[in-house]
Amino acid sequence: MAPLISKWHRELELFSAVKPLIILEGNVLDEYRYPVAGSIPEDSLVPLPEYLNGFLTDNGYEQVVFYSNLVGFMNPYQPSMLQEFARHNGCTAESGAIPAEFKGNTQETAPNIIRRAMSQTRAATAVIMELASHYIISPERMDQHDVNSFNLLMQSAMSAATVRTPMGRRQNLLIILVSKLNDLPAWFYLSNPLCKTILLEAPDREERKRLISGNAWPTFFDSTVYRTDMPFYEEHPEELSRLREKFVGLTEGLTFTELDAMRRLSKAECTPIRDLCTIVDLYKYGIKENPWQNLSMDSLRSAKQDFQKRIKGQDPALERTLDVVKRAVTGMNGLSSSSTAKPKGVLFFAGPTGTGKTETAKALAEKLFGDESACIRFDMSEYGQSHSDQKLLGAPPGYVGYEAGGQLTNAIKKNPFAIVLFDEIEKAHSSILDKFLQILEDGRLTDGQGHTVYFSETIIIFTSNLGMYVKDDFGKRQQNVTIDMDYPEVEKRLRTAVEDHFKLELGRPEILNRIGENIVIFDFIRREAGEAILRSQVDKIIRRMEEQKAIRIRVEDAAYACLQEAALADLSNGGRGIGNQVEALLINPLSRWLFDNSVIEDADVVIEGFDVAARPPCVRCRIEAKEEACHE
Amino acid sequence: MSNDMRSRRSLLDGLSDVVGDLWGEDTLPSAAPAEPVYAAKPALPPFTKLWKIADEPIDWTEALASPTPTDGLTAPDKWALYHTQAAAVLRGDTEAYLSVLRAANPMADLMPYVAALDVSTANADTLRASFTVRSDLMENNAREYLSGMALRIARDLFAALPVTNVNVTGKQDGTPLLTVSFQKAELNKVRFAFIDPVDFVLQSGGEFIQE
Repeated sequence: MAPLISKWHRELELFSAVKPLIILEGNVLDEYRYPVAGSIPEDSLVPLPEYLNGFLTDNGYEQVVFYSNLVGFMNPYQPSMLQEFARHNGCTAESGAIPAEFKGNTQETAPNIIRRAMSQTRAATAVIMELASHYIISPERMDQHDVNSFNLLMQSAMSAATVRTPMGRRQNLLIILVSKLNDLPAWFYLSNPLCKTILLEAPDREERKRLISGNAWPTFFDSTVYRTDMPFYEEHPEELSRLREKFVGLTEGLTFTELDAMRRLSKAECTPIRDLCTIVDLYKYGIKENPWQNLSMDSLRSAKQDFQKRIKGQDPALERTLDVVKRAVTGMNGLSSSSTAKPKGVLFFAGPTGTGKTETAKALAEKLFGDESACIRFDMSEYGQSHSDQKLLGAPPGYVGYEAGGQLTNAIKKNPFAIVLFDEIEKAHSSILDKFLQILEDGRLTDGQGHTVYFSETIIIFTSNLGMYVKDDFGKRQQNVTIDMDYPEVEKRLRTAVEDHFKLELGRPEILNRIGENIVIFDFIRREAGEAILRSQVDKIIRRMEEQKAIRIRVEDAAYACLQEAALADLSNGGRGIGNQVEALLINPLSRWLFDNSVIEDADVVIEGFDVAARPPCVRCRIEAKEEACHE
Repeated sequence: MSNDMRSRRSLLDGLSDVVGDLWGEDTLPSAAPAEPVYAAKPALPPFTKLWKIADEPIDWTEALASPTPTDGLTAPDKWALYHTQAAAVLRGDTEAYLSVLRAANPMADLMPYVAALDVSTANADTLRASFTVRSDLMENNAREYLSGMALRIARDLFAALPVTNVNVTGKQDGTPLLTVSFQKAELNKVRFAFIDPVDFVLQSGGEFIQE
């Protein structure tokens, strides 16, 4: 297998020959895969300092030392180098270290020693300054000693000597490791021609693939597991390749340290090769039952009928919704994309108000995760301010509310197996849309405290009333769809309006691209569906009164017809509108009548009629004698 | 390094001649401690606790991947041996199994507790171990001794080689007293500090033939 050398390694190779000062910024606390066989075996995962020690000694540096402001100079990997370094630079090594403060007035401060080491020509020397983000409190609050120390480092770079070695000429080198570049004073690195900044990022797809395919592959498994399972995969390389691809997809954004922890976890758990990807879940979420694996096919087969009981008159929308779930269950989701860490499914519900969009999300949560509470709802009208992303993700360090974390990230951390419902998405501030983009694309978010939460086991649902109204040529709002249009026309108009909103109004077509073909348009509540909704609401009231108060209510046919006519007169407000009518025409007048007639419990009440024109509306009822009720 | 490991290592150092005997045919040592060093080691755990500890597993996949120790604990010469044998061991080569057992001798520290010990391979999945009891150790609680010994032998063999089963027979004067077959998958789930070895052996289908 040909070596795979990361971009930062190649940059380091290139620039260490021409720049005496190199700042490695970013993922400096991680481990890295040593890409070639040298003083470190190929494909070994080692901490960055060890990697640099291997890289520099393999490249002919004769003295490599590490500096930390807590310990001083040291080289735990090759202690003899420290002795040589001390001898050449006029200092003393004690107990495996040369103690030196970062700042001070003496000649024995670290920057002074580094300056001497950089300018000497006896041995090619590289000094690596670890944890340099913590040398000073803050670049904005430096005292003169801090400034002097960085000045000395700059002078060290300016006076860096070139040394002849058996492997050719080498320039003495100062490497500084920082988590964030702005932990250093800007004047130190900006417009500094001696300095090169190299960014260290989490391993990319190729790196992860190499880790899982290279020499390290067997080490992911317990010896017995590897011996017994591997022959099958040697005979079926395509299976192995599929498994590795999936693992690579699921581990997007993870550091090498995390991948290494997963490797050891897999080994400790004696995970069979075929179950390698389950370790990713175990690592990310701890010991949690994965409801996706416990889904019963029979339960899914009956899902449409179950949904129809709760959501009336939305068959095409339910069909589309269940398609996404079926894709998730069969593992076909994301086959067309490069990442398997994406959410299990993404749905965008659009349509008139009160047509069952939120209810569908809840029904889905109950079906998939056995509980409606697995539907985590965020009302995006509460996130309309520019700082709203902090509510979702948590405040950054130093801000009020930092400890509390973010509402979204906390919820997902607590329950990674969930339906995440973002209601009325068009009301969210545009800064939040960027976060959505990250969720949809990478399946993860990092909160203000730096913890990453994963959405790979969730279904994301956005709901919106977009497209119900459009502006005419004069900027006046006018209705775009009406109840007298048929469903195909409603669907076409709303879909176009949603697309226009993202493409033209927001200028964010990339968000629309992530949603793909998963825009589900809910139809108006038509007459037939309205009747079914009314019937179910009235039945529910009757049932509850009987259960809670032992009041048995019967609505006479003529009265029901009157109620139905009034409740369904205007269906433009959907199921919620029907509910409002039921409340106004039935619940309020009935409770008034029960109260006025002292009917508290255990009674048979017959509703004979509704006076819907009265203000407030009234019901005409009578109490049936118990004998009569029994007789009936 | 723990006291156990220290004492084990010193035992290994002093056992080179016993090792030769251990793996030779029909030349098993007929009596316990061949070296007085055993008596001089108070750190040696009593046999009643023996099943609670076991050798560290040899990480064959790690040894396959790296020519130098990756754990920072294994001696380089031992690692070199593992690295040389790793590919064959992970192929299930029973000859390689035996070579490893001869060279690494994972059960040298058990020799004080038995009169003889023999290990052979049935196939790539299964090892067979047979030990001859020490009569004096049978006096107090024969079942616990037999079970604890069988369990510990199985644990050490599972730690040494990537097998899935270990069949252990405990004998006295050539007569079997206990036969039991352990499965690695089952042993992986056990918290050894809390189990009764006799119960566990019985649960594993062990059979006490006569005592």
